[in-house]
Amino acid sequence: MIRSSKVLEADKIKRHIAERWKDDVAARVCNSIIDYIVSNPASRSRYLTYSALKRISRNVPAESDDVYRAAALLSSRFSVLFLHFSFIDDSGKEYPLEDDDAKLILLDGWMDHPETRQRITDIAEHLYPYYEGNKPVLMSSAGE
Amino acid sequence: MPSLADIKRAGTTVRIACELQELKFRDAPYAEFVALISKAISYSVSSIVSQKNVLQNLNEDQLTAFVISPLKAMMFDIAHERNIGGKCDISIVGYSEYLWLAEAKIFSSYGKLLGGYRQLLRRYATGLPNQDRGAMLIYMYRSGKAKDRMAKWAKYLLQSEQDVTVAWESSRIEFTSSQDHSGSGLPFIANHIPVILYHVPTDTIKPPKRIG
Repeated sequence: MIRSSKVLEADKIKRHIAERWKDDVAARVCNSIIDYIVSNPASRSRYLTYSALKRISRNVPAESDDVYRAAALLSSRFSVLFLHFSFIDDSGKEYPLEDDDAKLILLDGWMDHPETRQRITDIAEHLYPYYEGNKPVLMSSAGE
Repeated sequence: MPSLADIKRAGTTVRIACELQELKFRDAPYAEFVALISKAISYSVSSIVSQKNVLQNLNEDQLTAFVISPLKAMMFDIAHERNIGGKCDISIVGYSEYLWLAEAKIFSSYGKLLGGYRQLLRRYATGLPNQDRGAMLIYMYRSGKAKDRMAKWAKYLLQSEQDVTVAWESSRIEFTSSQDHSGSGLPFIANHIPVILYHVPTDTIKPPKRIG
């Protein structure tokens, strides 16, 4: 629950989602994510994996697909979540990617391994999305 | 933790939602946003046509609700009758002020289709860059071949509007029109898409009697 005398962007976005996606469980996942970002220090929203998003929305009877769709909405339409990518190699070692590098990798469909320089062509198998919450925009006053 | 490939294997709805967020991440141009909408609309239209036996006698608003539903699940910000210069049948708002509009009509006459097209172009379309693409969805309940009807509609449009051009898609059943917006002077491009709902099964008619 967000308690404030002024209307926050968080309230405005939640209202829009509730109107447009009513009856969709992904909308309830979105609400849980927004509430989590707003009510926690920004540092706790810097690395949100799908597992973390699912934990955050554990009170919603959501399937994995609903969490994927909710995250997609919050990052594509509202900038509530910033999308980032990590590269994870076959040994399980993780390399967070700069956004500009990830954009090029998505367009090209390949990358060179950061250490071995081996060409990775099945890139979608090695790219792992994660998100960063955008608390400042949620806490800003809504321009009604 | 699922990889990007794992997520895209989850199904069409999730895959398109995922592609939509990738477009925003790459700050992809309007043309890519429109191409993704076309893919989603094709999926939705195919889904509707495959259920035509249970979609008989619906009105335009009810049919449009069926078109919109899958795109909403793909997390497009899609609305029925959002106010954009009037109540536009279908509108999709995207990042960077991207806008895509569609008018939907049950086919009864070419004059009625022309009315819908003119509403789309002259009432709803802003004519601004990144807001200059849309569609005419034509619900076809009546008997008659959709290919022939679309050819007649293209001809009627060319005769009725002075500066419009049309280009056929490879399927020869859909076409794209381009016409300058009266406000901005920029071309507004619309895909004209038939939604074939004619359903009178003839497979249960008795075969002719055996001769001889």
